[in-house]
Amino acid sequence: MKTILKTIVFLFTITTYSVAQKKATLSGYFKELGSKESMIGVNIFIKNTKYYTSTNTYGFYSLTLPVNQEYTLSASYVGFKPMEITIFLKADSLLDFNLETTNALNEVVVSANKLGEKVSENAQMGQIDLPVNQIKKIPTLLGEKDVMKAIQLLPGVQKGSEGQTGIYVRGGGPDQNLIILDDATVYNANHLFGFFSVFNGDALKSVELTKGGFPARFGGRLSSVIDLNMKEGNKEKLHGEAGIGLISSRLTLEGPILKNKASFLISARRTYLDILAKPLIKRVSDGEGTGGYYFYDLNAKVNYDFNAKNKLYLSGYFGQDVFYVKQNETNNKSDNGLNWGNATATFRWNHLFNQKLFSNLSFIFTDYAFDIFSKEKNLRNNEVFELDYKSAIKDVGFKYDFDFFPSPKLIFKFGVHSTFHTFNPSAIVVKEGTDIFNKKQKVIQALESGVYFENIWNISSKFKLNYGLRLSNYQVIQRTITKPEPRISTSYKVAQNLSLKASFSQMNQYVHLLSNTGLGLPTDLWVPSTKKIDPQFSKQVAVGLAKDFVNQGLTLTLEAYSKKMSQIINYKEGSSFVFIEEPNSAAQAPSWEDNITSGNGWSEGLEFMLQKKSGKLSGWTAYTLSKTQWKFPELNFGQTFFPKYDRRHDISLVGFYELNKRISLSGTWVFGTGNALTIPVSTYNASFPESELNYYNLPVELLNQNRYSTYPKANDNGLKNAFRAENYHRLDLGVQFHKQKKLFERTLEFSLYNAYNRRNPFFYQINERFNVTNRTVSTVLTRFSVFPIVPSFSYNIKF
Amino acid sequence: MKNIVYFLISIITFSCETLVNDIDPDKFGVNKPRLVINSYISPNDSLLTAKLHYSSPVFSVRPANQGFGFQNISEDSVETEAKVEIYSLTQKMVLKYDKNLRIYTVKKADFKINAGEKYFLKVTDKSNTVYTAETIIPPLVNASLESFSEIAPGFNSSNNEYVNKNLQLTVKVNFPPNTYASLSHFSEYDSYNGLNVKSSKVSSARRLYFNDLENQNESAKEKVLSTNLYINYNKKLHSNFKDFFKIYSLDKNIFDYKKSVYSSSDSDNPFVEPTLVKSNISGALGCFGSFNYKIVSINIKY
Repeated sequence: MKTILKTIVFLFTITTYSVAQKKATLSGYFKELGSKESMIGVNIFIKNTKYYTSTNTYGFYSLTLPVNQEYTLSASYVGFKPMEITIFLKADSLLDFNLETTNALNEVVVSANKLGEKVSENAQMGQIDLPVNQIKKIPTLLGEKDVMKAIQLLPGVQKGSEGQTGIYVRGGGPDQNLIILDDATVYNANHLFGFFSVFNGDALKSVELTKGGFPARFGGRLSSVIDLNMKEGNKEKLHGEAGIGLISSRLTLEGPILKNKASFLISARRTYLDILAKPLIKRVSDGEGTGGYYFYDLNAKVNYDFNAKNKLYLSGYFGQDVFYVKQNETNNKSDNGLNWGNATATFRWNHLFNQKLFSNLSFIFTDYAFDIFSKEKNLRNNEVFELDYKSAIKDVGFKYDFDFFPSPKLIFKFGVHSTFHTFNPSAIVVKEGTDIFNKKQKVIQALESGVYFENIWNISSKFKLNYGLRLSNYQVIQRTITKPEPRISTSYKVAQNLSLKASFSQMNQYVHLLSNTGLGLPTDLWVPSTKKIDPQFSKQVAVGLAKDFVNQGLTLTLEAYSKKMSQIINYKEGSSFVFIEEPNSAAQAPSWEDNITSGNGWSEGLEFMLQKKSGKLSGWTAYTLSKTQWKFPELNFGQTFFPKYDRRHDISLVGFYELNKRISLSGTWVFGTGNALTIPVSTYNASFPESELNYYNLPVELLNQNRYSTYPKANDNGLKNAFRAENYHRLDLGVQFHKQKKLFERTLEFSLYNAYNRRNPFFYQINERFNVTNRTVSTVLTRFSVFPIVPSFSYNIKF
Repeated sequence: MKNIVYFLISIITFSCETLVNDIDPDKFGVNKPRLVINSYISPNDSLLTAKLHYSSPVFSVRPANQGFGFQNISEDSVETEAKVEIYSLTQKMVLKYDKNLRIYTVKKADFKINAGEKYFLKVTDKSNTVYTAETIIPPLVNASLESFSEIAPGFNSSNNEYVNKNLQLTVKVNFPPNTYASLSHFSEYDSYNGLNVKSSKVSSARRLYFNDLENQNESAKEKVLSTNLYINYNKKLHSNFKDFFKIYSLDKNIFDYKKSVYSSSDSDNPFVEPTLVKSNISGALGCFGSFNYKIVSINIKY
């Protein structure tokens, strides 16, 4: 560790020395022409020089260059016309640029990386930007466009179960992904038990996945960061999008509050499964019952540009899932349900200290809660039974980030983050008649903080380096932990359009998700590191190559990684998040801390991605070969085992084809090795010495022949997760019909999920079948699938 | 347009095919029986015993008259041709198969079993596969009666012939390091047959009452164990009851095995993580463990 720190101090010293030259600074913002939406990650090159930079999360750029020279700036961004402008730099200048969008009907630009940014030019490894427009073209289940399902198609990212939004990055669990929406952590990104994610694509501006070589500004999770930014809202005119699908409808409105100064965005979505099913349920229950499920979410954002140096943003998300069953019978009345939802709010202040120093201060609030309730009343005797189970996590925090641009070769980023967590792992109240059982796990508060700096350093035209250090600190009752997290990512150009890359990162994770099912159910519990529970820790090394085939419009990336994870947690065998027992016995039930155990994990993999960025046919092919193993002293007899979502082979083929100006086609095919599961292999009689002894106390003649059958039966489950489910594969197809109407642009979409009707396993169950003919009983393994071929359509307008 | 309609109808028809399908488990190589060995030794015991049988594959076909549920262990599954040895560093005994008891057994005779010493099991099955295990005999635990009370009124039949009692027995136990305890109750009584002829006194084979295994751990020095007793007897057939509790000290092998067996069979809660049943025998299922016990008399008024 000392060596790493010394190296970082040395690098910082020499880079600081190298910037001591007199120059002038050109800075400003890149915005969309028309909407004035700031643009993240626009690449700005200075022609015939080695200088380039890119805009930050708020569209800001800064270039410090030798004065009294003429420069030609070239800027490019996916889906926008490239821009070129020549300037003569005499002194510090502020210059904003507006990029014009290409007409989507006339020009096809599809990319999983930024257009114009050659993959061989970037030092960053393991980071992929997904344009939101592209996410909307991918065919999906029931036509619901989904960010998380688009991310599942990238190399190194494994899907969970059929149709689910859960992601598993480089052998990490679903809790090891930091999902942030406008700086606010989203703890449960699932609607409808994981079949849809909470992110409404209409409200999003950018989606970025980082799965390795983490920049120092990110921390708190071991495996990935999914950074989502909401649109700011059109500053020039009212604009809207709306869509009607099979299960949901959505509406987005954005427009100016003060022209070119302030704008708003509001986006809402709701499912109507409950409304459609209501008459059916009423009929089935003879009018005595109602039930249903729906989810809704709402994104809202307002922003205000005070002046060139100060901007304010206020954004928020609110989403809720509601599942309910009510019965009103002659003698009985019941009301049961399950609700869960996230709420986030972020207030951000962008301030420009000077042309080289940009800052953002964010105040963040996050709340996630779920509630299971059941109320039953016997109308004959007025006896009442009530059950209420709750769990919640609430965060308040701030982030203060600085971007310092001393020269085109260097960008320093530094800042401080701090979050105050309040965990309420579970509280259960049961009332039965006059008996009241109330068990509340103690509320835990924790403070998670981090200071960081990172340097993006273009040492030469061939050699690039991004290094940094994050110092994380965590305080919980009776425990304080401080850990350094060095990060480094580098690339070396060995030939024209071919680079070799390497990265190393250390991560710590102080909050954990306890999941019995791995399905992303709302019942999964977020819990903190405590005096008993250590933080999770990982070290990841990756090497790779990136090649641009410029003439063919292809890019190729190949990355190999090795990740070691320590103190990862899992439920102990036989434990459960909820104690379905008699109230008085639950009082003695152990706390969540007693229910979990920690161990180590290893994941190695090779990721391949070939991408075609432009042309009538575009898309990508991704293949991941990986192996993940866990070892917990208290699980699987202390032997290594494969976690449920270890996947040896994972393939994604994604294609888009523009047939003509009005019709576009899309398709995806995915393949994955089956999940690792535990199923009983055989059954046997177990016996214990106490029972033996009691028999030995009897005279021998009283020992009966059936003694074996009196002992408890045990299942031989073999080793943990030794059973491999069947392979998963699926083809999805979509066709979009576009038409420019007088007042709006209309898109009609038809899609087929699981086009060749593959029966993919969702879960397995052991069942018994009785054969009447030969009077035998057979025990069989039954596969349950959830989605056959599912056609869908949606009608969308944009104005 | 017609074609599109036909296409959509065929899709809907096709998609109505069942989503639930039985699959061939042999495809996954999970259907193999394994040898199960249960053997426990104790200084208190006059016999050395070991019980050997094969587990039944879960996925199998059997006659319907054997009933539903997991397959019962049949007589055919007992291993009768194995060589079973129990030995220490200085002594060795070979156990013989007893057809009547269907276990391997031998009288302990001069084979000494002492607390704190290590003993080994070696089983060689008919295919010459060798299975081994070891145990260290636990010391006796000190136990004292904490309380003994009737926790719910019992039911007496109208003619006062049958007596029922619901009782709770609570015992305080001092644990030596690496020792676990278990509690049981038994009675001795005079028994009459149906012709009202007095028989000789026999010990009752009361079933073991499962104790609080969850809260035991190696660091605990003193624990209170309790067990509920439900006593039911016919006054005409039984008399002169004498009651005792037996406090066992168990080694870790038995504790882990017993805890995991009970935990794995507790499947009412769908959110429970599956439990793997532990075994300390290399290559086989089951347990080779050791125990010690003492008997303390208690006075129950009938």
